[in-house]
Amino acid sequence: MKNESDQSKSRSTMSPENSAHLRDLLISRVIDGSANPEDWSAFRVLASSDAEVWTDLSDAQREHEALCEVMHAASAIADGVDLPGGSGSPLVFESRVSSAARWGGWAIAAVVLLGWFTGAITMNPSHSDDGMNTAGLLPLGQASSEQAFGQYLEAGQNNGRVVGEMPNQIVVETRPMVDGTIEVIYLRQVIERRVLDRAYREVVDEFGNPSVVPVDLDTLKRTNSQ
Amino acid sequence: MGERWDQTLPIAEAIAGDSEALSRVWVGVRRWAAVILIAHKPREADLEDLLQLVALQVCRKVHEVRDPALFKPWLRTVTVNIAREQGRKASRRRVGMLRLVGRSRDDGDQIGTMQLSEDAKRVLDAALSLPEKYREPVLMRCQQSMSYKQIGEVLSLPETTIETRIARGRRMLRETLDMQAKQELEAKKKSETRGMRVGGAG
Repeated sequence: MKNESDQSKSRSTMSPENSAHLRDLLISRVIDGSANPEDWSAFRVLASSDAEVWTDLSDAQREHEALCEVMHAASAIADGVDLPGGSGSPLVFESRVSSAARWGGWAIAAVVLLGWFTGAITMNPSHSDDGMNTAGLLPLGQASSEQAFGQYLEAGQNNGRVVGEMPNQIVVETRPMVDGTIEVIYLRQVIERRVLDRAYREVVDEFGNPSVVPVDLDTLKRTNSQ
Repeated sequence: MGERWDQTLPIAEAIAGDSEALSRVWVGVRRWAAVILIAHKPREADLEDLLQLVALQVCRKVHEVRDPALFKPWLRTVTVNIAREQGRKASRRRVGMLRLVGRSRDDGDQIGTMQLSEDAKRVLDAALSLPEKYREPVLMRCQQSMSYKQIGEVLSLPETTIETRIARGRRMLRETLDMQAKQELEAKKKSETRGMRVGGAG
């Protein structure tokens, strides 16, 4: 590894390319703390004829430290990521994930299209299409968003519409604010259940145009029963 | 735990199906997997999300590794693929979510939720613009001071090649940052000159 440092003694006879390479290696070894006495001698010889090497060394050291800061942040994140299945076998987790992956896309498409056909999906909180009993609940105008969301979950669970909320929220963005607080933008996911007598899925035709086709329920049943 | 590169990782046992050994191996490698993700992922993609996908893939596929000596290069390949393929998808999803809340793009740091100094962001941006063969070893060298030999094991390259790439990569990084600094200075001068002319004309 240190053969190059011997070459530094005859640096004056080196080609400019080799000389530049040796310069890079010496700076790098000093930064890494792997320079041996011979490397240091070569570095001093180099510095006596090329004072700029000190500036380059200082810059390279600062850049290395900046990157170490990034890696330190990355390490903190990595240390929080364990293998899946901590509460059970990895195989169980895998089965859950793969079944979710298999059905997730279809299920989302079905729900979205259901809304498209029936107008059931709405951003209007006062809209209620399932006749839920709202007795004893705070009027939406008086409830905080958290209370209203809690009411939605409770009412949905009572009438079977809501299966539950996913325990983990997905952080989309975190940014510090000027007043020292932290703004977090995140996703809350609720699993809902609907019973349908027909469903549609989105397809793309041979010209790349999106369209919807009815789902063959017999095919679905056969697939489900496998 | 997992802070130092561990040469005695029970890789063979993990491949054979020992889940406890697999957990130990993961703790020993997850930090450098994070570095590889940073080197290859799109900026908007979240590091933690991608690392979880790598963990999942390790669980699913580790039994397919035929030789324990090939585990590290295998994990690197898995990680690079996830960074590129899933990273693109995650990036698109995230941009879409940010658009929903009136943000066009995440202008924050590239390391998930961690905040970095301006200097670190600037140097990281420059490091990510290096050609791949220099980018990875330069970044890995900053991770708990992995030795050239250890980096070589992951990248399947001789130690001397790793040392050369790190040295050249650092020089290229320096040159990139120097050039950026000069360009910024010139732009600033131009802007000042323009301001003086406008002021003089007024």
